[in-house]
Amino acid sequence: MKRLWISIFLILAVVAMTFVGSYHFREINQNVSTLITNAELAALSADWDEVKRLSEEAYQSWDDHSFFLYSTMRHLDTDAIYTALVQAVGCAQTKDEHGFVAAARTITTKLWLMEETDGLSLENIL
Amino acid sequence: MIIGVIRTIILYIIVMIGIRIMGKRQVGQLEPSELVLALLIADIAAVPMQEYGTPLMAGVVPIIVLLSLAMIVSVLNVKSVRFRELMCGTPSIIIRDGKINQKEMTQNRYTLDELFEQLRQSGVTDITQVQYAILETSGQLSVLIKAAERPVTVHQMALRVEDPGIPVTIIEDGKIMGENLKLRGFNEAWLQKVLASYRVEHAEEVFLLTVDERNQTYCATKAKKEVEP
Repeated sequence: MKRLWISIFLILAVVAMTFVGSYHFREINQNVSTLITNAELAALSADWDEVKRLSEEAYQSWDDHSFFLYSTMRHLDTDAIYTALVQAVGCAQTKDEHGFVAAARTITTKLWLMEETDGLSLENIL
Repeated sequence: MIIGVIRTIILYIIVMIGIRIMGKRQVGQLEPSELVLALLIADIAAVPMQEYGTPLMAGVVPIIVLLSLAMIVSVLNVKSVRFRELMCGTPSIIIRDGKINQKEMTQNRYTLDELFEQLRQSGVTDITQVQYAILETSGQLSVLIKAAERPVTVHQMALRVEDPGIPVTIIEDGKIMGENLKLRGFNEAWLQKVLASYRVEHAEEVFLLTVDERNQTYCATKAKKEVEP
């Protein structure tokens, strides 16, 4: 019976770990999404100092969690966000409004898709 | 590429642990749930080994869940007969007293070709000699010959034969198994005497030396030449 309880405990521990991981990922997503959305608004108002600050903060926020992201998410998705963030920072530095908005939309869409894929839903199970 | 090497080692260790948990049965004797487990683990482990873009956790987590489920199923199999019947099925008697049970064969989708193949593997060519042929849950056919057709035993002939017991390994690949030597009540002096009888000078020259309960020894030297005393 000891093995039975150990097995049940392992499964519950894994389930708990996945829920904690999902929650943590959602928090990172929301933080980066908010920063990029605000940066996009600043870009539309031509406040490029604010755009640069917010986009760099978004990049840093994503980079600070790289170990967690790379060990739990598909690298293809994580790399895509990194690429878009680098593009956004570059466009902010060169004050390229169209480029920045395109990169920002890519980031927010990709983040939304990643969150959807990770979520507990019938769509994902099937 | 070093990533692939490290991931392969990690996943290999995890899969080996899984195989150990499955217990001491060969592939041909696995229950359906165990066979499913083996196939799934192999497939799951292969993905992060080859796809560096897939996190290692994507392989490790499902394997841990599968192993835990397998353990739960195996414990329930032991504790509950009904659960065991549900998971593993029940053995079917295909031949009883020399007669084939066609209904059982149909129910098990067991063909005559498969039946004859397994009978031949058991050394049986005449179905009338079979008392029972039971199709086990693992798919193996257990064949029990009629008593009148079985070979005569020593006991039936009222003869006395000494039981040699299980031979114990004294030297394995040049290394002396000190504990086994003590277990059989022998010492180094006895060992040197035995080696001398095989014209061997050192234990390092011996590939295998065993002794049974009648103190009969068997020696195979590393030069592939079996020397008799």
